[in-house]
Amino acid sequence: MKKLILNIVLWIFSLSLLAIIFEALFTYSNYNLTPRNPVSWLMSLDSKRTYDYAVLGSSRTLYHLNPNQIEKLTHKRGINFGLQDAKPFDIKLFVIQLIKKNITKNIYIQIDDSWNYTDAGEKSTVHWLPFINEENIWNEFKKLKDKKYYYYKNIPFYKYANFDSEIGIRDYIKGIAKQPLSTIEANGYLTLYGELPKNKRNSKYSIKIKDTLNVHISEILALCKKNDVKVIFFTSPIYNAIGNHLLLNNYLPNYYDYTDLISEPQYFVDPRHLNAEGTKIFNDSLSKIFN
Amino acid sequence: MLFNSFDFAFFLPIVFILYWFGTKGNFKIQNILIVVASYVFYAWWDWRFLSLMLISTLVDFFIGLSIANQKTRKAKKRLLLLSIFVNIGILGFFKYFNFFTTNFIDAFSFFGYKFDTFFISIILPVGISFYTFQTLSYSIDVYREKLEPTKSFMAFAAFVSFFPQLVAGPIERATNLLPQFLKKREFNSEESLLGLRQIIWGLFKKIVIADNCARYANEIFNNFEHYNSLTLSMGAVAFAFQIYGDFSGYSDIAIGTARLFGFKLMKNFSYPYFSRDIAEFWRRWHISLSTWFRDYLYIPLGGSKVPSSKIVRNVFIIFLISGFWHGANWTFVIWGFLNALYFLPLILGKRNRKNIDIISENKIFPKISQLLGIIGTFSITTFAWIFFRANSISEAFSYINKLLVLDLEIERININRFSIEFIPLVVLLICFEWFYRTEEFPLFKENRFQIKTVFILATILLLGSFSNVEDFIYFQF
Repeated sequence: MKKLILNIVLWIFSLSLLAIIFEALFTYSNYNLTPRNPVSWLMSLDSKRTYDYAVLGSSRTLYHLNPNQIEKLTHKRGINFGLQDAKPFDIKLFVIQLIKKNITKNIYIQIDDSWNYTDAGEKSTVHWLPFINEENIWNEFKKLKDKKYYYYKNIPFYKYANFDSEIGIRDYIKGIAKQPLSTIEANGYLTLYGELPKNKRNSKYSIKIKDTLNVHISEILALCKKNDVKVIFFTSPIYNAIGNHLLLNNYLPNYYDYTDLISEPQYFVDPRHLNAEGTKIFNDSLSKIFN
Repeated sequence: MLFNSFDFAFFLPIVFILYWFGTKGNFKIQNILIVVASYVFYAWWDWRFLSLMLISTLVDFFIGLSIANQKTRKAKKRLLLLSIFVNIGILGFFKYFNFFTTNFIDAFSFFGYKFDTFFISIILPVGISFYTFQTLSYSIDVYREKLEPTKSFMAFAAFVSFFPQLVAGPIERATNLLPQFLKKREFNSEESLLGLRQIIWGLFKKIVIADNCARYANEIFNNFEHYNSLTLSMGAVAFAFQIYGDFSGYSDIAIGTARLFGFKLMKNFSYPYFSRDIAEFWRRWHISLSTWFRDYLYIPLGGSKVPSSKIVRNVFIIFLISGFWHGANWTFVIWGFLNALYFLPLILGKRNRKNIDIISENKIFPKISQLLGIIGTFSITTFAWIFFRANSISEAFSYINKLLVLDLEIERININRFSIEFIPLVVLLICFEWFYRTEEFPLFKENRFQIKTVFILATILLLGSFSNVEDFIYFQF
């Protein structure tokens, strides 16, 4: 029995040691190697590199806002930190870091029915986990009062193993191999191609906004006010939208609604996402609020 | 309870400690503990189906005793038939009722008769195909007088429900496992260490190989119409390694767990993808099922010691039933049919036992002819897996049709991966297995510092697919 126990102890010790080493390597790579997602991209920026504006939001920011086109129209240099499936909690973390790093004084936030979410995002928040030990980020996770974030913070390598698809070995290797996030060259914009399928063209797509202030948006507003950062909200186009999205006017000081800007199906790839042509039309209109 | 779950990580040490320290070495108390632990293990999934296992246990225990008490062969045979009727009846109802109903209605509709569709919502009890075959082997062996019926109900109940191999095998023979419940087990440190290493190796095959390959196989098979032939070939290869890693991984965990409790289970896989022909493959893949069919069906039918026409009949019977055993779907029957087609030329040409040695023993690389044999066998096996994996026969044929339209562009698939990215994992497995192919499993022998085991643990930690934990495929059978 003694031999068995000794071997089990050896395995547990080796495994724990490996977990600590891997944790250190993976976290180092997120800070110092080639950025692999919008979060590590932001974390790798320093305050020497500033922008006229930054745009935040979900895939409806990532695919809908082309900073290069806006720059041609307005001569303002911007950066798009659109993150797939991002929720107000993720956006708040972006705002905190943008302010901390003093990267811009103008923040644009795409908001729609993501307004209703007060929890962390499912996949999007994962990209913040490598930075969970930073005090100001951990303070926000603590507020969520979810035990799992304590485990992600304190158990070595747990977060990387649990989310191997998003922040695991594959991204680590790509970081070492210096394969950057494909959108960096386009300042964060990613183009979508295709058209809305014919069987989806006759349907209506509803947006239901909860008639209560989102706690994270409220904190963003307070934070920006305190740091003298201008914050502007907008909703990008949705095909055949119906709903109460104008309610956002009641809560947001600088809100611009573009939900119904484009009604032709050939400019969408699905009801919530524009293709390249649709983005051009949308950015033409949107650029006015950048002046 | 899944072997790759936290529940099992707590369950196993508790049972292990109680077994060796809470029973004072009394094997009868240990048997009671095994039965209780096994029923808890099974109830974790669905307690309602414990009754089926209990019925199977009671029926075969008493039939076994009664068979031994009968004086005439005819009376013994009647009891054996009763055992077969009850076991196959339960299996048939829970596994095949809706299949037969649908096919019956379809067949009569073809001739113009109309029946109302009649389905019962039946949940397939996990592991039913495995423990049913295991208890049947007991009744048959008692009938054949290969085994004395046991008088210990608890030992028999432990034999039927033994949790390491309850839900996905290996399908144990009563002649091997039951006697182990009837004698004292001694704790053996070396054997327990071996058991733990085999569990680690099984977890590696499941979490690193099978679950990672599953991501590719699931995406490609579920959306095959969007992909080109190279991607579809990759999908079939990914499934071949998924099912191997999944099922042989389960078997390794089962055998390793049994070792911790002082039991020796039969080997279920023996590096099947290094087989040089299909006959060798079937001696190395799911050995407990293949030998079950061989001993209880093929040989009683005359095996290969009958005229050629009957050999053909016997081979088809074995493979078709084996296919059907896997599930109530024609895809499994076609899979069995294909394997029968592959196998027939070898057995008719008496070349089915040509490759029974360890391939390239004491050599680093195989000969070219051996390598070609391995590649050929793997290719036809993988082709048959397409039917095994597809949801319907028409889907399998559509998949194959697209596969044949040659297009070798490496595509990005809809899991944000290129279709070939699982290959390094498969290469890692192949290298490990090739290098240690003479041993029972690659971690069988270790040095003082357990370097290989630590390497495999590191690999699990680093490459394991923890965000995509899949059920074991063979649970559904």
